[in-house]
Amino acid sequence: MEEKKTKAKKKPSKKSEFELCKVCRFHHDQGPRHKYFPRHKELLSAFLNRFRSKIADVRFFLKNPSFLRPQEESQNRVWCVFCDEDIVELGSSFACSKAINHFASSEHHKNVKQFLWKHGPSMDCADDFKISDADVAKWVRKCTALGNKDASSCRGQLSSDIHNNKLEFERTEKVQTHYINPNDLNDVKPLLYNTNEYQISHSGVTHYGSHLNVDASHLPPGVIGMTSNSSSLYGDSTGNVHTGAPPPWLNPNGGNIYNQSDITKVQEKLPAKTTSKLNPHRVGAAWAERRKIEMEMEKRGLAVNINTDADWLPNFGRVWQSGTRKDSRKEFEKEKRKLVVTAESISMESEERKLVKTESISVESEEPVQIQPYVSKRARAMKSGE
Amino acid sequence: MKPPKKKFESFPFCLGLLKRQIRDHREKMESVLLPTLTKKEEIDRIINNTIDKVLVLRFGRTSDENCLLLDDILEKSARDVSKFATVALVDVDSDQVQVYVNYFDITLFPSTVFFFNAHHMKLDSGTADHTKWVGKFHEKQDFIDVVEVIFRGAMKGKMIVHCPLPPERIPKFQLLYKDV
Repeated sequence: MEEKKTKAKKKPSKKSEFELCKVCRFHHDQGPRHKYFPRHKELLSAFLNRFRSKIADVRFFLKNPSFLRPQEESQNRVWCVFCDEDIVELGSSFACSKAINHFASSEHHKNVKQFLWKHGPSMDCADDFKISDADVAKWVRKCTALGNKDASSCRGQLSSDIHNNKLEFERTEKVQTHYINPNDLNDVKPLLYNTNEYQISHSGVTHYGSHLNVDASHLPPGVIGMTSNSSSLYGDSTGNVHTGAPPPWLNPNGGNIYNQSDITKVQEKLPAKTTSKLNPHRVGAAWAERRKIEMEMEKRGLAVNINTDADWLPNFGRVWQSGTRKDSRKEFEKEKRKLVVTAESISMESEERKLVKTESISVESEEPVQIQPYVSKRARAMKSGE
Repeated sequence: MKPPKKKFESFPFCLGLLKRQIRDHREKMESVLLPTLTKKEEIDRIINNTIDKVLVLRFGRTSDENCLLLDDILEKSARDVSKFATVALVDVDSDQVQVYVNYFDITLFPSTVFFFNAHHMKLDSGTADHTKWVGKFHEKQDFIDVVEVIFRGAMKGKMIVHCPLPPERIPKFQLLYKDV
């Protein structure tokens, strides 16, 4: 009997502390069994699918490395949901370089495992959110190959291999570069130039010039504050960013290192600027889109304004006409043509009168205005039905 | 019980003063605030270049007191509605504009016509003419409300909207067909 009683006694359900589920975005006290609930599973699959698409974009750049323009740096950012970190490509020379390094890092792998252990029922899909070291090595090789191809331009080569933590700068002919011997990185060199305001304000990484996108976080301590050596800072005739000269990769003499196709590919892949989406069903939406394109083309000087017709009129719903706005416009245009014709005939006849001196002829005989009572559409329909 | 005091006992004098003030103000601010259109090309250009905004075209003359009162309200509210509306004045005394005066069936002044993306917007204010607003607005807020309703309707794809103003604030007029 007592055993039955004990069996009958159900263990009270253990209520654990309230915790936030990042996937479902609410607090629950269901403990570890929350991850097996069907709603959580659905939300998790949607959550992971969203991140998978982001990783797919990054993998694209892993297979096809391309240069990242400074103006697109701020747009090229990824939020890692496992590490709760925003990866911004500031100072990177290749698209998604920081993102690739992050997804290959051991910390990210650890966070992925932890996330899936906490939220996901299975760890099978962990590899979808990681980038292997082999892939990263291939990518680095491709980047160096890409950089070597364009060694004639003024861009310095930047290795994004965070494991080596070495920086190599190639001297180029066109733009001033500052060669730094990697062996001397830890030594403090004496100042070769008089200290001036520019050097004080731009001490550190920016001394190397804007064309070298150096990420200061990769530099070992003691490197900040390095100054140049042999050649003068401003001696070069081509100029630099401080003199307002254009960057070397846009120099028409030097030739663009980018192909237009590359640029368009990169632009397609990069997240588009957020634009306000207007209702596509608003009044005159199609006309507005066409007109915007026309105006842009006019600004560039490509197309001439088509609506130079003096007789152009907008569609207008007139007061005394029935039918569509287009019909009322056409009717008005007919009336206008009639008036023009009658005016011409009047002028011709007046000339004839002057010549022939005949009796005056009444030209216009206005049609008598027939005033009819208003009949509604319904009444008209009923009449026609009868 | 005392009869309510008349606020505008010297109403004609006040109106004359107001007209003069408005005229002076307009002369100063005309070129800065509201463009006055005197040619058909200018009207065509403004219709074609106003994109995703309500275009308010006032047809009237500066010699008319109702026009002046309306213009005062339009000038004051032009800035408030600038994000979703453009206001322009059309001088009906110009020869080149007569084609539009005939096309829009404008017989009473001032008349205000509304466009959105080169499409004519109609306004059902309970009057006989839904194609335009005839007369002046009672106050600035009335004009802003009307323009807002037109904008909201246009953004939803409606080409005719209901006037939000109460009937007592809507100017009454009689529409005659060819003066019959």
